[in-house]
Amino acid sequence: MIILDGGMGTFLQKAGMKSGEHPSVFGMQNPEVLAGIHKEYIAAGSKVILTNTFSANSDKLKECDISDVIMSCVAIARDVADEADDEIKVALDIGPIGQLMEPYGQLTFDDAYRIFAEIILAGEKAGADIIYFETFSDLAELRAGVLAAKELSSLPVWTTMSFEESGKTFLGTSPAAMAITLSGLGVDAMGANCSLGPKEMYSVIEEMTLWTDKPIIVKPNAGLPNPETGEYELSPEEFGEYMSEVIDLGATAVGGCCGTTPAFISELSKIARQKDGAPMPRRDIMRGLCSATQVVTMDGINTIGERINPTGKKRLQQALLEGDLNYVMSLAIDQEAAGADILDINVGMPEVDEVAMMTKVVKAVQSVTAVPLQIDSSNPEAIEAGLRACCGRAIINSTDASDEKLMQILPLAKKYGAAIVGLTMGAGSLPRTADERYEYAEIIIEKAREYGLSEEDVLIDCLALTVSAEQAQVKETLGAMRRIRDELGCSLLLGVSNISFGLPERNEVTRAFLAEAIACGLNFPIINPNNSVMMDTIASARALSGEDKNCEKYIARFASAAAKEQAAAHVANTHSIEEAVRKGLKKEVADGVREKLKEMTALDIVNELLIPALDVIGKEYEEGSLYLPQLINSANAASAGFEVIKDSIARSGGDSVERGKIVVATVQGDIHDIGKNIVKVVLENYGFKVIDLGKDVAPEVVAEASRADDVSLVGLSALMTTTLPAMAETIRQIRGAGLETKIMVGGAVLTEEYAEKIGADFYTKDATASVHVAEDIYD
Amino acid sequence: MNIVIEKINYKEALRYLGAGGKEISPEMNALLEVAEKELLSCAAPKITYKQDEKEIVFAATLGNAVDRLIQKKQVNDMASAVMIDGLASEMIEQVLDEFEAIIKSGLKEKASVGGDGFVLGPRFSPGYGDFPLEAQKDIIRHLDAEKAIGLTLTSGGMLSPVKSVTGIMRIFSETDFKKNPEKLSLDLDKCNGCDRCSMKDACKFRKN
Repeated sequence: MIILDGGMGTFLQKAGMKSGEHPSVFGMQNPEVLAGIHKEYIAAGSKVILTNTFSANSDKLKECDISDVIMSCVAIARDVADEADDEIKVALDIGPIGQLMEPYGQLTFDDAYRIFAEIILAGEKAGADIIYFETFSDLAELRAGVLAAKELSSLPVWTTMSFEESGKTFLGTSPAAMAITLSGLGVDAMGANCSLGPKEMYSVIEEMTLWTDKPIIVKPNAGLPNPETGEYELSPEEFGEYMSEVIDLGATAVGGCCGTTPAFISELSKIARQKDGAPMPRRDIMRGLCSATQVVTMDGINTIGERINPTGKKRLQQALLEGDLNYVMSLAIDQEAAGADILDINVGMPEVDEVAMMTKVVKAVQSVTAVPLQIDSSNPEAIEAGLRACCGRAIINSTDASDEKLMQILPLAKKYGAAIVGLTMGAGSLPRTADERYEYAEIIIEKAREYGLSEEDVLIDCLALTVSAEQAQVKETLGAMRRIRDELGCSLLLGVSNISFGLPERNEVTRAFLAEAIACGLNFPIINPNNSVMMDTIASARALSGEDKNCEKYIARFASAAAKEQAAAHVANTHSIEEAVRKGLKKEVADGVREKLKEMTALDIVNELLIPALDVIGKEYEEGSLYLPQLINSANAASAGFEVIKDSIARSGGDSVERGKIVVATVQGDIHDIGKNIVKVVLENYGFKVIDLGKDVAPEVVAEASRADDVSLVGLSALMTTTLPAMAETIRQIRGAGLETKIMVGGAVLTEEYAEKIGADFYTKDATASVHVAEDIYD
Repeated sequence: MNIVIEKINYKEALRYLGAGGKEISPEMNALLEVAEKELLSCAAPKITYKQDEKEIVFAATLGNAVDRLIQKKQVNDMASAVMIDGLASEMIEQVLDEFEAIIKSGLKEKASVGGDGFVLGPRFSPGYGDFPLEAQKDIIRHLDAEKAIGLTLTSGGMLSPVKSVTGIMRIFSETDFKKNPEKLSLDLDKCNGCDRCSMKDACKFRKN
């Protein structure tokens, strides 16, 4: 067992550090105090001491040269360690940057990486033995740190996160998701610190040990703090007693965090001596995939949603060409809601920069869904971009059994800890028999082992061919699956819908095939989760296999399906399109528009039905008889109608019915973008094409987009008084670029006068006002 | 400190949507109920504070999951996003009302065992009146709010998670307060935060 050290903050305060003073700067200026603390811990039995660098990063400590601070603090610990009799290791302590990362915050992966890189390089240079990340609650941020450490340094990487009593971090990461992700990235040890006492940490460590065979670190607070006094509740002896129980779970490195002192560490040293030589519990490790907040185990059936793939999907192709991530996100949300356990992400198509788009789409999808991802591309660079952006443990789709492909894909799987899909085929040669498929599977698994992966990391795809063309192949595919399941013990994945291509009533064949494939061991079916027939089959299979305990989910699924049908029958008393828009009934509007397309042109439907219906609603909202959410619901329902029209136009390749392009943005420094998004939705529902630049947008970006898209109207939003100057600057830059465009501004703190003062053309007090402006300009 | 809220005041929430004063129709009420349920299932209200004789410094948040919920709803259900956004703004106020009540009862208890009586000033947050928004940084640092409740600041100085509040409350001893009510604070019962605010003429969320 390895004894770590304990708390540092209270020591520094006792030595005269003032509230608000940076601990690392204080330590640098008082090296003898810092050295004294390290010495006390070593005397108490610490074998690894943490440097006084927890919050020393260039974001929190803007006024100093961060390398100097890191190197001084590490040097102090290094000297103390070298003078000690025992062999003492120095761990470079790195805490969270202090800003939330994308997609929830503003800090980008690259910024975080750069900030960590600076610390790591300075720390290694100054003689640290271990890179030690602690107190993280954002798994995405910790990933950026670990990748920086692995790529820039050869030192061991230890990592701990802080969990709440709920058993999750502030950002919703469970010990399981942490363990799966970080084991995959190849850290050298992991565990939990701070926030909880040893008693509360027991269940956290217990869960973690189920999911990783890495050494476990436990570094709790001295119990929970008394809210009145701020004092921690446990004595060193009590702390030791609880720790003794946690250690029996299999902890390898133990220490203390807030409220602990050398007396606590002495207690731990005593326990370590008592337990010395006791066998470590053997751990059977569970395997899984995860996002930052959701874990999928490898057993049972896990459906992979196939909808984010532009092949044969005109609407998605159009969205990717235009960079319309909102459409991609809505596909992701719909699939998750329909029951997909994993989402496949494929963005490969001509005229789209696949590598850049993969990063964008992975981030966008992860910002609105919690399911793990499958990164799908034939381009290894796009795969790496996807894996790098993806928080959690993903699947790579795919490699075949050719040396060339395996040598591209396996190193990526190893580096990012991803699972892989192995296609049972060689370079360009399709297998004909079950035996050939089996042999390809063997080759893939053997190669994977050479790269340090196990058969559990491989999902074998036995290739479903079209039954109408290759009837004899069906039993070869199924036969191979059975044999691979029984003899190789790995998971099986299959895209099933291909089977029925070219046949009538495709669902019937596909459903039968899906059921057979599941019986042969398929546990990762790739399907369209919005196809309820397929999801019904999967729900049935889960009930039959016992995965769905007491058929509870099956019963719930069909109970709610019956209720929905009833509700639908109730509403289906055919409304006119106008009425359906008023009541906010999306499906009714879409159906109505589909019907009308048989007799009217797309443009006439927009101008004679949808827009007048919206105008009535807008008027009632302005008069105060409707609330904003009702206006939006109506707008959304109309939007469902516009979607039908867009679809039909995309399919026929005709011109779009867009009424004009408008750039919108929430200005730099402002992250409150709901107002801008309302305006966007409403403008879109009135048929305008909105180019949404997002929130916290730099003035030059707005000016450039306005120029590049040659728009006649730009909408700017700001919610805070502090960001009004950024709005003024944005207007200055647009004008400075000599653009003719009109500018409308809105947001809670704006007034007519202020809008005029900063040179805007229009002050729009709400979304309907922005529609009036847009109509004046474009119609 | 964790505080549980079970019901959100719809009327106040709608004020944040710029729709104060209107009657809530049954349809609207039904929509709000669905939105409220989703919000309550995500929100994890947390408060951290430090108290001395003269003041209470606090920071509160509904947590990151609420931001995520609103972000997700904005993709394909903007009406819900707007309602949840308004409800969450009201919810954090209710959390603070609850917190204030707890603080008050603590002070009362102290006063009842022989201390001086007290008058608790109104909650005051950076960004209101002439209390600069930049003070948020000092409050977060002072309370170590990042570690305590997961509250951070963006580089632009905004709170993240978004549905969060930092602020202070002054504690006046009753004796001092009676001696000089003018100087210490105005008539606290009548003060609803709007009358004395420098932004009152431009503010859309004014209560009166």
